[in-house]
Amino acid sequence: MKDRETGWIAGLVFILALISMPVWYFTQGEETVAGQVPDTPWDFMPRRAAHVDHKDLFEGPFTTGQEVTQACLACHENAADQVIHTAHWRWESEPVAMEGRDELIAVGKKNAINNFCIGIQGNWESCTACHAGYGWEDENFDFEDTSNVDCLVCHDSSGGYVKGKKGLPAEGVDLLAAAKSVGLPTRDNCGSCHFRGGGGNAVKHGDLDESLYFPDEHVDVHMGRYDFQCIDCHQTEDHVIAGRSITVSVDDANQVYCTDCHSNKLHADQRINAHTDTVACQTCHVPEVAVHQATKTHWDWSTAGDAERPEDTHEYLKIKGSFIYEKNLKPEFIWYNGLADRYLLGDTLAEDGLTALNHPRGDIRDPRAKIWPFKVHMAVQPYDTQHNYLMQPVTAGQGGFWREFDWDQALRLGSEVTGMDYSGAYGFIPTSMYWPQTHMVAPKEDALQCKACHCERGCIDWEAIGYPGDPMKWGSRDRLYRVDPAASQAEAE
Amino acid sequence: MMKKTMLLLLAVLAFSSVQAANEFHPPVPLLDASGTPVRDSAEAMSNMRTCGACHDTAFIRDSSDHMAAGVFEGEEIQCLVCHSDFKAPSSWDSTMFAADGSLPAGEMEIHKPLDRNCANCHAVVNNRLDIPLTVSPDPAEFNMTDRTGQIFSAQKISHSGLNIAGKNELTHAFDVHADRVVNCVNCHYSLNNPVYYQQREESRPDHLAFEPRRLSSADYLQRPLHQLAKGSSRDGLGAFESENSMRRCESCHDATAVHQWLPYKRRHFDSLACESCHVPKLYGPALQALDWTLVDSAGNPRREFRAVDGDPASADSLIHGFRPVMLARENVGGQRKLAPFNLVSSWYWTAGEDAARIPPDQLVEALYLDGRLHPDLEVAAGGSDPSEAVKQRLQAAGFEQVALAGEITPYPVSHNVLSGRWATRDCRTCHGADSILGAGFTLSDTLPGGKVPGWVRHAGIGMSGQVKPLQGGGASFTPSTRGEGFYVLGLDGVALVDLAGLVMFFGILLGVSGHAFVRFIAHRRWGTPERPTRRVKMYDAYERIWHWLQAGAILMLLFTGLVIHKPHLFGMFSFAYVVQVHNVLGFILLINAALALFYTLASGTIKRFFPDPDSFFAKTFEQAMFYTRGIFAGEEHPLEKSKQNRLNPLQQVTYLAILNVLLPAQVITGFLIWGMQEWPQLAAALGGLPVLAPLHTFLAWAFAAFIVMHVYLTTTGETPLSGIKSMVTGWEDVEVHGESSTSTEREASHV
Repeated sequence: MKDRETGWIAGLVFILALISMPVWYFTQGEETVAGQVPDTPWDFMPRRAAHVDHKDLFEGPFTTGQEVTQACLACHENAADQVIHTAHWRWESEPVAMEGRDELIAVGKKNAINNFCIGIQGNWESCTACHAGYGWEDENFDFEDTSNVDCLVCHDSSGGYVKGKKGLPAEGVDLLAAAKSVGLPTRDNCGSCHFRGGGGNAVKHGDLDESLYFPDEHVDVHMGRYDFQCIDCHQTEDHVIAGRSITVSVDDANQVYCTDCHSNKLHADQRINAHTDTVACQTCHVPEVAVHQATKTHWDWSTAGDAERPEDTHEYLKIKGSFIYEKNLKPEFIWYNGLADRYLLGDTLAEDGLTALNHPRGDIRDPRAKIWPFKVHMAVQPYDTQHNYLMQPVTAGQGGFWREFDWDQALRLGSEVTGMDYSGAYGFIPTSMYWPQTHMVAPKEDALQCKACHCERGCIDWEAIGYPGDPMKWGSRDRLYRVDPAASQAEAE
Repeated sequence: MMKKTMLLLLAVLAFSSVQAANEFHPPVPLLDASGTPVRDSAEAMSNMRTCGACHDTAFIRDSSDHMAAGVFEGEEIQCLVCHSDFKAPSSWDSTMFAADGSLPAGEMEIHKPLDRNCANCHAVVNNRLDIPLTVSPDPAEFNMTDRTGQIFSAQKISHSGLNIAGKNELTHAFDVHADRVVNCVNCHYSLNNPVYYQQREESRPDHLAFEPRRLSSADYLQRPLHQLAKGSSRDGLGAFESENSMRRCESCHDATAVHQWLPYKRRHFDSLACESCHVPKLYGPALQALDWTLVDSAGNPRREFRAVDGDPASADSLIHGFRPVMLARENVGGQRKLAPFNLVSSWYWTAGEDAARIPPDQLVEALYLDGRLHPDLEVAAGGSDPSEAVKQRLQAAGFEQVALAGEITPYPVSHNVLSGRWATRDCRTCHGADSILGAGFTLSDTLPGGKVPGWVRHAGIGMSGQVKPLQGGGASFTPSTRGEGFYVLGLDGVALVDLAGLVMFFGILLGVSGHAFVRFIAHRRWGTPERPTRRVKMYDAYERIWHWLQAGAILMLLFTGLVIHKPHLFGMFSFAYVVQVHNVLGFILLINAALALFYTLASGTIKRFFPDPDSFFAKTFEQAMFYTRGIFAGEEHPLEKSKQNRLNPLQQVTYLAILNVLLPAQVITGFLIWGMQEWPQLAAALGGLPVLAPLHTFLAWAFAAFIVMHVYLTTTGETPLSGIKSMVTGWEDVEVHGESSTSTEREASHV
């Protein structure tokens, strides 16, 4: 009896298998685009445990930031030691080799020259308000002293922590409340400095401004639609935060890439995927920046000091000169291989009259280079007409231009700080600075369309970037110049 | 001041992008009709003379479709309308000119026709991405777009300035070709442009795929044929030579490479124009009806727009977009395919013997006095249908035999193509009772004069279907795919077939239920006598496997077939998947049946299906008597069932019919329907789907009815379940009649 029962069950299974196997076999098959690599970005999203509530861990009272740091270090023993080796503390890179220079270069905010407020040397008190430490007021700051590390600037979640001159907590800040609130860094922590680069909201970067505190998805799809925090992409280990920019860095180590999470060939369209060896993701997906807040594109220092001229933050300030701000800025497309030239203090100015402080490297024949979107910031800034190099003036510091409106004195004081010769003859000269645009990623619906570049004529000066004409018709660089980015990438790996 | 200049200079430096002019076409002296530079004569520029200095303008004029259609007044062709953005000023200023009488570069650029040139006359074309697209309030400005709602633009609908319902979700360009930098002239090219030229199929020798002996670029530049490639649009200029001369979608696209997901790819390609799925909806302001019953004082008709709340050009209107109606269209090469159309109904007055249309200016003259509505019409004009009053007025104005005509004009849709991602992909859009292929398409919201519009015949456009007045005014058109020779699974069932099938199925169900009920009553009243039985090995393992495999396949085929036949009743099933499963099951059935045939032939057991001719009638009668009488009385079965002799004559006849007629017919029709994909001519020879599909459906009903009967008759054995059990275990308790044959004893000894 038992055999018979199992017998018919086996029979049933056999019959069902006879039917279902072929049905299964012949009904599979999904449509895929040839060459498409599916995208699984969420696999790369860090999953963090809830942050330990520090509310009951501090008793206070704290009168200085250093006391808070000391309390932090009681448990997080290695934290400060980690921090003092990072760029957020040192404002300077490790010495690296740079093409075209004989000696190793250690460069960073500490000693670089830019074409906004020009440089921090001699102006430490004001500039170091954004230093992740306390008390940097002159060239004698001790970068090995862990007691001055500022934990709160990155970890305060109360929103009430503000830094003032020399990076010290502003007057009236409730340090105990800040300490009790600590958590993982949020957009507020990073934004308090990075959204206000250049001394105010939206001034410097173009793709980073205070609209990112509460962004809608059209400003930035990651932060707006999915509520990303900065550290979701700028992932951090031992206080070393991933990411860098050619505006202060000269190497390309520890960089953040779209392809860290996204597939390089994720488009369901072969035509678009064919672009990704040559065109950076950002070029199409950051169609415009300064979406809500105009960003500075031109700064003419030479007009500063005119007491007669009416002031307007976005047009003219007596201390700074005249500006142009642009909203909904369309970035410029430039070949870029991840590295850039760097104008260092003392370098001779360019002969053609326009000195680029950090021109991106790469061209159409460089297989590592892609077409990238840049905010180009043009300025007219002081230089020594005898020595033919840019000068670092003292502006915010004692006796500086912002107090005395005396260029000669400001430049002389600056030269004393930097140790450069100042001939006493100064002038103003145009410079340019290149800001890679990588934030303010638009939702895919707002990405650039074909015609943004491949229009009948006049959208892009193809010849200026090395093509004989629109590559849609003339062919891409692999055909024109036998540049094979895919092969060189494979080689690199 | 100098510093300011420097900043300005910087700004210029940063923003300077080359204004790429057309460097190829040199500046040319502008000549008047006498050949004198207009710089000197100050006369109007002559295109024929100016362009004719290099190009053969007489050839161009004589070949021009546009010229032939009377687009240009006079004898001159207006080259600059299409080849430049330059607009000649009312009078020439001689200082504008260079010494040779030409305009300096930048003043007048000559180029191939750009989309914006075509847009001057043809529909809404907008290739600006930065300015939200809007439609001018003047209907004349969106002339041609109003026929179909087509807008040729790269702009995403979500970014446009039109107030389109749900547009935030419509994150695609109005037209994918515009988006992908395909311009008007890339498809509508000059027919002798050597870049595009392709030999007409009928003049191509079989051995040549490409004609290498073609016009040189120099020849072409001198004498470019101004017949432009175009489709079969009836908006055409009547240049029949160039009719259908345009490359079709498939001239550029390899559709077969990217439709792997689509079951019956070839079948779909054979019966659907690409546009049918790739133009799912239109969002431009498209006309639905033009009513000339009571024109306005300028002679304009009342316009009804399709799926628009309010006036489409005004800011407070809401455009819903509409799905075009699918009509059969004769394509290049004589293929008939369903393709999208907009239907515009129009009503107008005719008069006289020949029922000639009364032109608008005469209407205005009759209906208006000094620009004001004739007093006779004032009351009627406020009402819902002024046609009677207008008719009387027209008669009073001297028109005879005044009548209102109403007609429907189909306008084909070929633009506003969307990529696969946005195209119609859901099978159920067409396969099901709510198919768009059979959905009513509004013709009008009102019926002027109660006149239901009729079709104006157009060669190559099928108009099968019904025009019906709607309740509450208006009319709609319901297309018929079957009327056009198509049979759309899920939509086009033949009601009569289903009715017959249902009657057969439920008739048999009712019959066997009645029979069972009487058996049950009889059993209750008189009981069933105990009879000696014997266990007999009735079915071999293979026979049982064969049977159950066949049973499983048929049941699932019936079910999946039903889902395919009436998909709207089985919403949870994916139509495409069910079709594939049905096909696989069909092959399982076919293979199983073939193996069984081989088995019965090889083993010789096929003999048991053939009745003994000598005793056939007697035994059939005996068996029939048993089912109609004996069974109720508990009589013994007429047939003493044994392995060799287990089918009674009724069964033999039934199985012979099923296995020789029903099953092959069903398998063959099914195979042919499946084969429409690869061998469409095979099925076509037998009448195609419109014949095969209803036949297949009817046979399926017959199978279903058979199964009811078959399952019921299994209960007429020794006990109600003994028949089924024996097909499971192979062993059956059968009655022992008076004397047993040696064969059954031998079998019993196996126990």
